Amino acid sequence: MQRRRLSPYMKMALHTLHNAKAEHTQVAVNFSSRHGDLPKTAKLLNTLVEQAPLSPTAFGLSVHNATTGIFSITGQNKAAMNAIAGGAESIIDAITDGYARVKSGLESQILINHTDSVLPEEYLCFADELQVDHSVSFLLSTQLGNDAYFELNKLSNHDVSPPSDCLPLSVQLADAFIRKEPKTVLVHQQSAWMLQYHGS
Amino acid sequence: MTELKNQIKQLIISSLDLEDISIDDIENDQPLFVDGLGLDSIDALELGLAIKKEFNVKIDANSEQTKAHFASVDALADFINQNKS
Repeated sequence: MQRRRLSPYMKMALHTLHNAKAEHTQVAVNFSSRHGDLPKTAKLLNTLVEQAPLSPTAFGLSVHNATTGIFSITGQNKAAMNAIAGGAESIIDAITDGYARVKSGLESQILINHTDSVLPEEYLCFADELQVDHSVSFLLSTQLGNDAYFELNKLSNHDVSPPSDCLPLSVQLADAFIRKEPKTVLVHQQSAWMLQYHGS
Repeated sequence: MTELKNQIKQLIISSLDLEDISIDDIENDQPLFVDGLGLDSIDALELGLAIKKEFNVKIDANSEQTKAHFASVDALADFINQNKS
């Protein structure tokens, strides 16, 4: 697969996936995205409206699991890969599923990736969070020895009112991973999560 | 004819997102697929679509001749000239 066929969305996803996988060649992946490669999908939909033939390349790479497919092919990585779309909480779903797979012993670790692009102009009226091109990747495993770790819990009946301009949960999470504050509340329209950092 | 060939070369570059290549890098008689420019079967579909759109020509996907028409820029230019509606 030539690089030239990949959209900016996919290049962004593959870039962080490759950085986070480090030396691991066979690593399971949970990919999540709220909207998928929407700039590409929107173009395809516009083409359909015009009743013009679809670009075979764009069509082939517009499915939700195309990113994991390309990541698998380019890295000859044959491990199991999931592609998840779960609305604003997509990255939480990817982590939950990843945790289940690690905890049950199916995998020793999971490479989590979340990627989203700024909504195309015609969909901006539906935006309920700040629009930012972003891709986040990290390795998820259970705590090893006395190493530092993060703990994520859903807050019930939270009284945190979400700001009207909140960042996507995936960006909030990445920021919290970097800051390593003891407690960070991640908040979206209908839910809130507590991320705690336990230093070693 | 030179203008048409340059137009075809520009279309090849833009429709296939060829990187670091200009129309001067594509020879008129250079093979487009496998050897030469190194395009593949997905490129053939993509280029066929772009040519149909740009020049309003009909391309028969199952014809053996189609393969010959897509051999080089020269062959494509001849084909377009003969089939333009």
